[in-house]
Amino acid sequence: MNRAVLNADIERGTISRHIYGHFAEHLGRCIYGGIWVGEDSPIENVQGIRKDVLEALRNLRIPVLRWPGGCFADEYHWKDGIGPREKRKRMVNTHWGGVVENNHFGTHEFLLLCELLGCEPYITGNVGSGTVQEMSEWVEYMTFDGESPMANLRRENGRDKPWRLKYFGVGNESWGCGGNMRAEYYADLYRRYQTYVRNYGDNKIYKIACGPTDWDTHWMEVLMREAGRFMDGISLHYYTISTGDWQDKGSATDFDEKLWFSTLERTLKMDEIIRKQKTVMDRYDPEKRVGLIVDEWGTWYNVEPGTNPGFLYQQNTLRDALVAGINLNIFNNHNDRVHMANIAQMVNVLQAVILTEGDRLVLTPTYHVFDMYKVHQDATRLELELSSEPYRFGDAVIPKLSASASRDGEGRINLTVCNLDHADGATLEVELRGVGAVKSVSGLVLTAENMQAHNTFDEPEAVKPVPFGGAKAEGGKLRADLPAKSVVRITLEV
Amino acid sequence: MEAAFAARPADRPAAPADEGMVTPTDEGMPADGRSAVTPEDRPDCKGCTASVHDDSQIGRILAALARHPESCVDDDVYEARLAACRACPDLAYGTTCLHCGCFVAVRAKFRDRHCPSPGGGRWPEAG
Repeated sequence: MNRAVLNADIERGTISRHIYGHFAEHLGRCIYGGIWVGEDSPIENVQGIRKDVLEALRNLRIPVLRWPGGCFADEYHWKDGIGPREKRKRMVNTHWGGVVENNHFGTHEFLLLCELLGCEPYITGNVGSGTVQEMSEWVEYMTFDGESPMANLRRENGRDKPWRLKYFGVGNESWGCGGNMRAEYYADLYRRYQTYVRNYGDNKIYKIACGPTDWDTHWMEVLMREAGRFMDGISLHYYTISTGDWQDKGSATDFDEKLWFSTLERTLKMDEIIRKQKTVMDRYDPEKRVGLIVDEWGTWYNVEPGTNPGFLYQQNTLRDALVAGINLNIFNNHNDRVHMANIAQMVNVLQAVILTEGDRLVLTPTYHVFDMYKVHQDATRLELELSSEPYRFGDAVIPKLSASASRDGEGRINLTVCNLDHADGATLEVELRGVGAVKSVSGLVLTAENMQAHNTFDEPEAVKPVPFGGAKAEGGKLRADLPAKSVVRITLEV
Repeated sequence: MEAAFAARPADRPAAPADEGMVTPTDEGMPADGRSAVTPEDRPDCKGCTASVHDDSQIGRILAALARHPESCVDDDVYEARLAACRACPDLAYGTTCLHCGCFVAVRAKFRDRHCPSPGGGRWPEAG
């Protein structure tokens, strides 16, 4: 049996709501078609932004949204995306396959989207092909309230008052598409560029340096050593590749038990990666001032057959729900260092929470996991010691369960548990310490008959959460019977 | 991207032994504890080379579909659908529908597919 001890009287700090953040890049149909359709579109919109997508996203209480990239950020020149739309420059987005970019979705449109969603904007500036002046002026344009060339330009473009901007990234993947730099070179560039990312008035910017990918602790080491005191956060990217082969990443929907297992096994590497990167960060920042910002994560498969390979459009199955649930549990459990995470990407690209086709919309299994887990946003993490049975496939072994727990502002305790096992259910017995009397137990479960189950435009509710009746609390213990391949949320009213 | 960690470039010196470093023998780490990730190691990292102009899969898919005529529309319907696509302002690169991301040459072939253009679609009803 799987066992756990929930120490409700041992609090482990706040789970930042920003762990439940998103990422929207100018790539494929994420921005154009998925979010922005323009004011003249036959698709119902709010000042050009799809109304159906907006409403679905509002339900998730999205805390923060990263834009404009990704790789695109390092060739994005923000002045191309302001002013009358019909006069904005058209450019070729070379990072993403040569797509033509008309710049109709720019700074004003993005910040409008954030206002409509009620979320914090997280903007990534251009280091790879941009100048210090360009980056500095962008911040001035957005946040300066007085008389200045950029503030005046903003006013000419119809926005009098500055926006609030907290999160600003200085470059993206500077070790790769963002400039192919060495860590030592980027560390110096970071120090230089961030100097001119100014705080105007009472707008205080949280500066995020480009961090490593995966296990690259050398990059982290150099950045923390040379530039740690100039940053508030440093990014980390890690994608789940089901096959482990970037040349053939496997299908999103056509997979067997072996690929189910390997996908989840590779997802669990996120915990190992964060531990390693945290070890390096702790050496230079033992007070844990600098946040780890996992601003790109999720599954990456071959594109759907028959779709344009430059659009990175993929379906999303129950397997992706498990990937999301496991990753979010990992982030919750590393809340001492992980200040933010941003799934890639929000709509129509990679592990999207929403897929669109014309005027139709479908919520993916990943969407439902974000919906189920939103109870953890800004909740207090509770100590949970989990002893899981092994989940074996061939010679490989991984834990059968993934879990995290928190107490929300109303005193409710929420436990999110994933049963990774594709074939067998799992019984979990949780010893409740410091909980007191449990008034009621309720829950939600997300599962399906088949591993490959997914939602389509013709069958949009094939995978959706339903009430979970498999948990009961008595005698100071919680017992839950978890279905195979499931994501479960259990709520204790105490 | 684990394969990218297989080797350290010869021009990168080994890191000095340093207290507090992560264990260099851990999985995914090169022997000296440093990352060996360089742009040269990852020429195709993250599939950035995928191009919106790459239509090489269309021929393969159509050839495969030819073995399943029961799933396909007749040629005259197919041509009528493609004519509507060619006249559509939301056809990109001459191949791709911006409403669904599909290659229209593939999507139009399927009997059970419809035109995703908002407001009822542009394909003839016969499709």
